[in-house]
Amino acid sequence: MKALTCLSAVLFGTLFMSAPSYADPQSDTDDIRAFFQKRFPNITLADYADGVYAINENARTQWEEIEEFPPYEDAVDEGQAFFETPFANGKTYADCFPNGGIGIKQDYPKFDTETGQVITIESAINHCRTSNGEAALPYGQGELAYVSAYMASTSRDNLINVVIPDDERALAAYEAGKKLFYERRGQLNLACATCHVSSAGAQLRAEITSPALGHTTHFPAFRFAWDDIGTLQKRYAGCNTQVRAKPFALQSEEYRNLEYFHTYMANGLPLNGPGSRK
Amino acid sequence: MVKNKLQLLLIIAAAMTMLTACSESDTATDSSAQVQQDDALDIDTLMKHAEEARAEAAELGFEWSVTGPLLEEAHAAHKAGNHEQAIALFQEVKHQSMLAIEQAHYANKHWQLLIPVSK
Repeated sequence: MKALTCLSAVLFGTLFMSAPSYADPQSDTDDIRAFFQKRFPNITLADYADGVYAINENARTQWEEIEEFPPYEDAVDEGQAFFETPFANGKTYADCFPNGGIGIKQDYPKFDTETGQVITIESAINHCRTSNGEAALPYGQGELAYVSAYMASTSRDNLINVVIPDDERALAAYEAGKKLFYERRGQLNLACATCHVSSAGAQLRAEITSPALGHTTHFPAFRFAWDDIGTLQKRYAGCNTQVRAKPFALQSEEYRNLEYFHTYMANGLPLNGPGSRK
Repeated sequence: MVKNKLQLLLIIAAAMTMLTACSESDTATDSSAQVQQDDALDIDTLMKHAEEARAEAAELGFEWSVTGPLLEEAHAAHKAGNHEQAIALFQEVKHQSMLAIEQAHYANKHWQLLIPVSK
């Protein structure tokens, strides 16, 4: 009888310990911030907007020198020109967005209760084009990334304010993004979280892995590896490819949901895009 | 009393280890049998199995980036009449895809394991 009781206790304890945690988004955010606070006790929340340069002094010094002559400036100027050039029907991007598209990036991604989908600023740019009779632009880099970079530049210092409305579909989208973030995939069997949570700050060959918190503040970003401005989802695809997983299509539901989760955890951080990264 | 509980825990742990080992051994035997079975298959059937496994991995969203190029190589070898190389490549495509499928099922059950515990 004693043995049976003991066995039950052990089994119950094991089940209890391995039970999945279905936390709400705010608790998730609190937890991940507490984790990073413990990992990097000298870094303030706002510092995470600087990505890996917040946690590595040597890399930061180099980055600050690069930022004296920002490599993304031409792209922002081009983006502004594209942004202000009227479509064939005479309208412009400004007609598609609140506040004429100026200083609004902090609200993206947002959940559209009409379509039940997450809208990123890049998908909204293309939606603006197609609803005005223009062809959609390729995602990732080029004209669309430049327009997005210009819009990001007008939103600098605004605090990220991603909202999850009281809608089951919005929570499901957030949860799907969260799951994708924590799932191991690819031949190397790594999750986003493996490098950017569990191993954040570790040396990976010649690089330091950046914390996930704050990743979304500075995109689109000029990456020297790309020699161009590129979007956050281009980086997602790159990360997936690096772990030898077949990437999802840019602006696929999977990546939009991931961006929703990833940006939500950065709520309250100042936008500082476009940024420059190695 | 404490000693008895400790013994019980050790017995449970040992039993679970044995069960796991048996289960893994079964899987290994199954897998080995499958490979032998594949060897006996004609190349068209093997190709079909490889493509089906790859499609299933893709459907689950877990296809590996290295599998597609390998499949192309396999088809090229088959087309060029290089039978042995084609068989080896189709088997590798199938093997990678099966692992990706297994990874997907594992991820579906255990993805929360990487969520940080801050307390």
